[in-house]
Amino acid sequence: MRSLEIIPRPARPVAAWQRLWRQRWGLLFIAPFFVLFGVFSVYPILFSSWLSFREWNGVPGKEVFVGFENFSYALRDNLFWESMLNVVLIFALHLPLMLLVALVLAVILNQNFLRLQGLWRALIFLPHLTSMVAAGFTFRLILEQETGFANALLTGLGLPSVPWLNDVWWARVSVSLLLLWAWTGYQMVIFLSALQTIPPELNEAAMMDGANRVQIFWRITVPLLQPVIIFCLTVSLIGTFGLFTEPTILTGGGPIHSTATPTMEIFGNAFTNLKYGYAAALSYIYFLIVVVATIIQLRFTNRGQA
Amino acid sequence: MNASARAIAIALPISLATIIGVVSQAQTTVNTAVKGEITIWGWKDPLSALKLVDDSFGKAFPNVTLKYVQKSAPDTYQGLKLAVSAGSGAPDVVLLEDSNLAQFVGLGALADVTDRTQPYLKKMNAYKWNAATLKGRVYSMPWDSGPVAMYYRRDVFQKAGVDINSIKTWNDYLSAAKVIKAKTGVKMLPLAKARNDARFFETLLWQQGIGYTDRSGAVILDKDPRASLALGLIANLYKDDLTADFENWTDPWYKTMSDGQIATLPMASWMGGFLKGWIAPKTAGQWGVVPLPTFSGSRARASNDGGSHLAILESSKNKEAAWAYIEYHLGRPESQLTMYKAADLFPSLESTYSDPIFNEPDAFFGGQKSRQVFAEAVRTVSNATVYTPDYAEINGLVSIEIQKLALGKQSVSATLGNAAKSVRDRTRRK
Amino acid sequence: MTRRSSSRAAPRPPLSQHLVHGLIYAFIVAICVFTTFPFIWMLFSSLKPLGEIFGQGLLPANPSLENFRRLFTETPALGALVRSFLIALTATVSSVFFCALGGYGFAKFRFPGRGPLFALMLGTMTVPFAVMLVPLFVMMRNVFHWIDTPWPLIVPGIANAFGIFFMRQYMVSISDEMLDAARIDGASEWQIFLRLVLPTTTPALASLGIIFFMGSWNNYLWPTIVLRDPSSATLPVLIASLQGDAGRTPYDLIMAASVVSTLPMLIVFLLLQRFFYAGITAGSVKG
Repeated sequence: MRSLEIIPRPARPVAAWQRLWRQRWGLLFIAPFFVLFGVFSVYPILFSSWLSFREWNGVPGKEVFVGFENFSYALRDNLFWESMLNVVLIFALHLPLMLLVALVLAVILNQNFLRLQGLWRALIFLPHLTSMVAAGFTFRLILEQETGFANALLTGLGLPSVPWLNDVWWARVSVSLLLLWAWTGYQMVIFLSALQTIPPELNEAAMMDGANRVQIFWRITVPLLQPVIIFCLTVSLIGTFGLFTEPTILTGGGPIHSTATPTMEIFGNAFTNLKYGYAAALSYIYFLIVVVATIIQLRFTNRGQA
Repeated sequence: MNASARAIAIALPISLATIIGVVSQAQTTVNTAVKGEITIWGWKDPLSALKLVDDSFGKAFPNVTLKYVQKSAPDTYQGLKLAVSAGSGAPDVVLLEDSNLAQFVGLGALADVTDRTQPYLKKMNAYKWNAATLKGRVYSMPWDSGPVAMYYRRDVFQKAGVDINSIKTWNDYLSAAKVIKAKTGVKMLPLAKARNDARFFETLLWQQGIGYTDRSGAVILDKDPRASLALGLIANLYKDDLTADFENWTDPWYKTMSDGQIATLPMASWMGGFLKGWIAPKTAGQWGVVPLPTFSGSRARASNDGGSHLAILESSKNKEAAWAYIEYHLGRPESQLTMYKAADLFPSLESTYSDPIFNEPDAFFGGQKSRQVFAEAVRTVSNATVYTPDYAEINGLVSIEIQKLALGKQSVSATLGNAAKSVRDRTRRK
Repeated sequence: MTRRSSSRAAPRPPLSQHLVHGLIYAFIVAICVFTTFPFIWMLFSSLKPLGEIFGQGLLPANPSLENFRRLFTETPALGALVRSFLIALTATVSSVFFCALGGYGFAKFRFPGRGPLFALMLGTMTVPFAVMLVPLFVMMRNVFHWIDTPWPLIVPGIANAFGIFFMRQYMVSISDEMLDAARIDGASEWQIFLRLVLPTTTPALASLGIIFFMGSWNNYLWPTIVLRDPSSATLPVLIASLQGDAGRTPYDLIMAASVVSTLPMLIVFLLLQRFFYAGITAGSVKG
């Protein structure tokens, strides 16, 4: 076999096959991914588009073709569009604060005078390890209006108690709080490792020129970390649009649907209301919006960079 | 004692009845012809009630073995939906709340028991058959009903100097609520605002004989004046701050009952058992029960909230044994009464209401014959269809609009209009 | 290290420096209180009877392990714990292996279409999981009949674009001379991968493995769809389903179960901290 391959053949197709055969190992090694990707991603996505033109309660054989009806209903489905707005609001509520706190923490942990750096880093990172189901229940109990510890603390300090989970805006704040808790440490760790690649001479030179810490932070640190910041922004954007577990456990999507998310809408329509076709149509619209949002965000941040 | 055996003989299709001649012969004693294992799905409390009847069922049907699978109610429904669409894994018998029953009837998951239930059509509360029926065919057997009456705190009313019997209409109720609040500081009832689940609204609709939709399936929320009466009452209760704002089934909500922070509780019969059993056992003697106040222009004083059925799955391989089980447990007054006494599941079987237990004074309710109140109420519950196949979805949509009302974001008519619109959009009704 | 000594030389008046440092410590401690308090609250609550959890106090009056005893005797928590562990382990080992394989293929081999295929793979990372929710579930149910089995949580995840990307970044730096030397010695490509490539990339494998393990251990959305029976639930699914029944929500059991689900990750983290950090940062910095 081996000798046969080495003999050059005049026929072109065989030569192509030969080349492919010699390069078979690379293809072989990446093949499992593409096979599984085909089965568990491409096929479902195609199936989903077939489904989005049908009404289906999940019982095999009961699919009914309805044309664009699912999409036209989806376009005037207030609850679905509200859920889109909700994730945008939750994103706006937590992300700027999270980026700022994570950056400041990273800069602080990168200071040499600070002792026990490893301990602080671990303690701040800790929430990221927790299941959001466990954390969601814990937050739900802590934020409970009448009996929760948060309001006990506030009233103990002479402050008014807060309807954490019983008010449209406070509920969004509560979800944001859970996200801040879970993800600030994650971003901090990323920023910290990026900071450690910045040569300290840069800061020192700036300090010699009379720049203070705040100026260094905004003029040197932030611009240098921009690619990493954009990475975190993108991860958060996709993550927030895909929120499910946190609001499901913490608020159940309420009150007044104010913390319901697109994923919860898709989930509910499919698995509670048994409208698989409609859920498939919603997920397509959702997909489109996420892609557009990501592109806009990348364009926007790239322009800022230039 | 032999009622069930006779019922089987009547209910069986002729072909089967002739094959199993033993049934009629063994009327008084034992049925060995029905055999096999059946699996029953349900949740904790009702399953333990069913098990109380199993000894005597075992003697009557020695060849039927029972396998119980206990799940929470949501897990039961999710598991059933899955089994139905996957085509395997379903039990033979399942426990279903009225509120979820129609969805499974609509899915075609349940076996047609029209003929088998024939002897019970007149024996059960008539309205119970609504959620079980699709296009004239019956798909389940009623177990318990949820007749609604009004629990009230004797001590609070006494302190406020209000006579409970003076409350005839919901308007009386509103005035009494103001007096009680002024004199004692106690709120009239627990009714969540941002966490409202629309169940009280449904109770008020049902009392007036309507649901969210009419018989043709069209949404009537924004058309029927009775819907605005119901929501108007709720709006007035909110407006005058007569409600305690706690989400149902949470600890602060239970606390309103155990600590005397509320004067009344317009809820179903099963709530009495919960109050007595674990929510507020220490308040024994301080409660009473009266029928619901009426809406003007109506004399209806009863409503329904909840209740459950047992159904046979269409996929069951042993429908005979499954039906024998259901009929024995739900069709016999003895079984129903055993379960009622143990677990407070109010029988839909009307012949039980003549049992002495319904005339026993209940110390928890200050020695009142409280069961009598519910037995009278349940017979006058109207035939409204609140529990449609898409009930869960409609309930969720309406809850959102009521929450907006509760937080002062919209008026009664806007609430009904918006609710009607979103139900129409989502469920594609008229 | 050089950085430390050099910046220590920066001139600063000591008093204001102390003040600034004090403020900074206060800030850090405040943040740490925020991040750790829920854990402490969760732990204390798990030691309290149900009524006391709503008591607004922090410390349990009579700490007791009763909730844990009830959790393991009255609910299938033990099974869920074991199942969660086995699923996470199997999913992690198999995905790490295939990611290493794919990463190696992209890093060290030339073949037609490598660039476009790599780009396509990266592109799949932007597909939100919600899009696949319905079709993937239907597939698991009606094609594979995998509902209530561990397979939906293991097999589809093997095709992990992030993992392949991650491994590729590490494997690019493996020396070609070393690989060629092995080839000349007559080792097959397969042997080279198993005996040479995998051992040299152990730290990367560990980092990726930890990310995968954590993801699988804490996952809720997909497991709650494909694991419908309580007897096949993983821990997060079990915890969420504990609140299911009518009546009083058993927050005592839920808190105990939350501790049971949190503790193993904390222990793994304490033992393997640096791999956590490495795994999390690799994707961002190198990307």
